[in-house]
This record gives sequence, C-alpha cells and structure tokens, in this order.
Amino acid sequence: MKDELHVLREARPHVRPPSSRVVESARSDLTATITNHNQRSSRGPKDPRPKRLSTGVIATVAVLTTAAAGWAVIPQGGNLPTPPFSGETWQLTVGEDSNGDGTYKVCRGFWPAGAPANDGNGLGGGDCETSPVEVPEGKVVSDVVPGVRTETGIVLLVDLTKRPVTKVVIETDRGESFEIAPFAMPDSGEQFVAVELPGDTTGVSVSAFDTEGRVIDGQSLKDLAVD
Amino acid sequence: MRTTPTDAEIVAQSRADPDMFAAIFERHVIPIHTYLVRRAGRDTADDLLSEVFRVAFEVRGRFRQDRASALLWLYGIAANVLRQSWRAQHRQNRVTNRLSSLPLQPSDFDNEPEEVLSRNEDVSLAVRALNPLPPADRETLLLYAWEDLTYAETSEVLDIPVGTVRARLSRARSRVREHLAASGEVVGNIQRRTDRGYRS
Repeated sequence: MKDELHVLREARPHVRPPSSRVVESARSDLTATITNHNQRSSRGPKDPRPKRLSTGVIATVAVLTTAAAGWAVIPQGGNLPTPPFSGETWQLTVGEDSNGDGTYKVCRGFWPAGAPANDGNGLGGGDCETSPVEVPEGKVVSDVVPGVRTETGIVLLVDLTKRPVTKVVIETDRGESFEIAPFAMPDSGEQFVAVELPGDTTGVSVSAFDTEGRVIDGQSLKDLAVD
Repeated sequence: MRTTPTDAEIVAQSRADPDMFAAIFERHVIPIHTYLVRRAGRDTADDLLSEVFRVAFEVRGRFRQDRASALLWLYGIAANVLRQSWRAQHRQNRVTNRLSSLPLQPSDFDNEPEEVLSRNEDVSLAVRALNPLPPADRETLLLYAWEDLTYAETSEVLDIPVGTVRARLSRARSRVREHLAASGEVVGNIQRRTDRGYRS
C-alpha cells in the first residue's frame, strides 16, 4: 500500500542534466569571481594604508556573543561571527534575521576591534532596517554615513541595495582613491562597504560598479562630521 | 598513496588558494542544478546556477570543516538563492500588478518525452498537493521526498533542529494526505477520479 510519500516520490520530476552551455557559463562565472577575488587580494599589500583599509573578511577576530539585548543582538539570526570589515581599533558587526514574511531585519554598526558586540560598548554609527530597503528606482548607493572617528581617521559606511555590485570606489576631496569589494549579507543580500579614510578628509564621492565595470550609481557627501 | 581530498579539505585549502574551489563546482554542479530545476524549472535553474556557486565561494569560510561533503551546504545556499529570487519575482509581480505565480508549476519540469503523458498527471497531482503548504514545510518535505535526504541531513541543509524537521514533515505529510483525499485520491492505491476534481 502506498502512502502520500510514495505518491510524491512517484511524481518526482526526472531532470535532464544541464546543457554543456549552462555548465560552461556557470564555470566561467565562478572563474571570474575567483579571479576578481585573487586580484583584490593581490592589491591589498600594495595599498598605501594596508592596516587601515579593509578589503575583505578578516578572519582573526574573536567570535562575537549575542547574549545582551541591543539593536545589533538578534535573538534568532544573530550577528555574523566574522565582521566583514575592520580596522586597527574598530570592526563593523552585522546581523540579520528573517521577519517570517519574506523580509529581514538587517543591522550593522561599529564596535571596538575584537570586542564582543554587547549593548553599551558600541562605537555608534549603526542601526537596523527592514530588507528589502525602500529606495527610489535605480538607486544602488542607498546611504553614505560617516560612522566612527578614530584617532587618525574616519570610518565611512556605505549602504548598498541588493543589486550586484562588484566594487565601490571612494574618492576623497584630498585626491585619494579607495577601491573596495562590498560584503553581501548571506540571506537578505543587502550589501555594505566600510573603509577608514584619512582623518583630514572632509568630503567624498562614492561610485558603485556592476559586473561589466560600469558605474551604476553614485553619491557625494560634503560633510563628514560624525554624529 | 594519494587519496582523493574530501570537500572539507578542498574548501579549507581554497581559503589560501581560491582556485581550488573550482573542484567543488565540478563535483556538485549536476545535483545542484537538478535541485534548482525541481524547485523552479529549467530556465530559472539555468539562471541561478552561477549565483549558487558564486555565493558558496564568497561564504566558503563558513563551511563547517567537520562535514566531509559540501553537497548539503550547497543545498542550503541554493535554497537561499531561490528564496531571494522568488522574493524579487514577487516584488516585480506587485509592481506590474500581475498575480503571483505558484512556486511550483508542472510545466516547469522536463521529463523525457516518452514519460510526459504518464508522468504529467503525477506531477500535476503532486504540485496541487504541495502548493498550499507553507514554504518552510514544503521545502522540508521536498528535501526528504525528492532529494532523499535523511532527517539529520534535512536539518543540516535548513539549519534547523531535527525535531523541527520531524514536526514539519508530519504536518506537511498530513496536509498532503488530506489534499489527496479531497481531490479524489484514495491514498493507499493511488486510485484517481476521472474528472480530476478537487476541493481547494
């Protein structure tokens, strides 16, 4: 006698393997991703400010706790254990959790480097929002926020939408240029960039690039005063 | 004697040598594509296949090294990529005032031609029984029934406790059973009514 599970299994769709064109396309895309990653990594040591500019995941930071209440402590989803960006004295802690209706609560903020993200010891410059973020059609750079002032610099937080961005270029009014690959949250897909700029920076111009190397959005900020 | 490296070893090595990650693609591209086709149809699967492995590469540092195979981890990533795709489609549907399509459509599947006549009815029946389920219950049931995962494996893919898997499976199977009965299916010998009528 067959039960409902047998009915379902008998109805299991037979699937032909993907065409060689599809496999080759996916293989090429992955190769391009790896190549871009390798190029970003190789550029890192040549950066004039290697210790202050974060270009990827830094794996040496201690696992963060989620014990205390606070905006960045999400009971079910929790913060990602590894901050996507950090500097000598700061780290960007990010977290997300499903709201159960197809949206996500996405949070990000700055904490002291290596410190657990407990309520009360944050450096500020962050908040939570509901993803997908409501932005005008065509906008990719949703916000540019000066997050934390350090002893020698100022950390800029760039919020991006979920539209794929391969790199963000930040040009300062002092003539310096920084290129950073954004971090995408694993579930919501929301993207961020954080970078420490020289302390005497007063204005920036931010440009987002797509996979074809085209500028797809930009935003300028003339006053980098930290709240 | 050299042994074939496990997925865990390859992923670990790829953190220092990213090119190594290509081996994960070669090992699992077929089952991941099959999973995507069963959930969303061939066209969507073809479109999303690249994205699954791109995301996997980007988050490879989170792969648990105590897992020998990366397949379950990739299933989980594929499920997330699918959810994001469906949400984007849903938003687009709202923008264009179109009705949201059901997550599963019989026409999405691509059985071999000689099987179409006999299998289309089975697939349609299954789709009608599965579509009313809450997405989380449906995904749990399909991982178990169509991907042949165990409770523990389903738990790992969905990152939920095994007890939650059991509860979801029990609830989903019960609802599918009720739907089959309501649609004229006598569960036990799969006898079907000729008019294909069913209650919603």
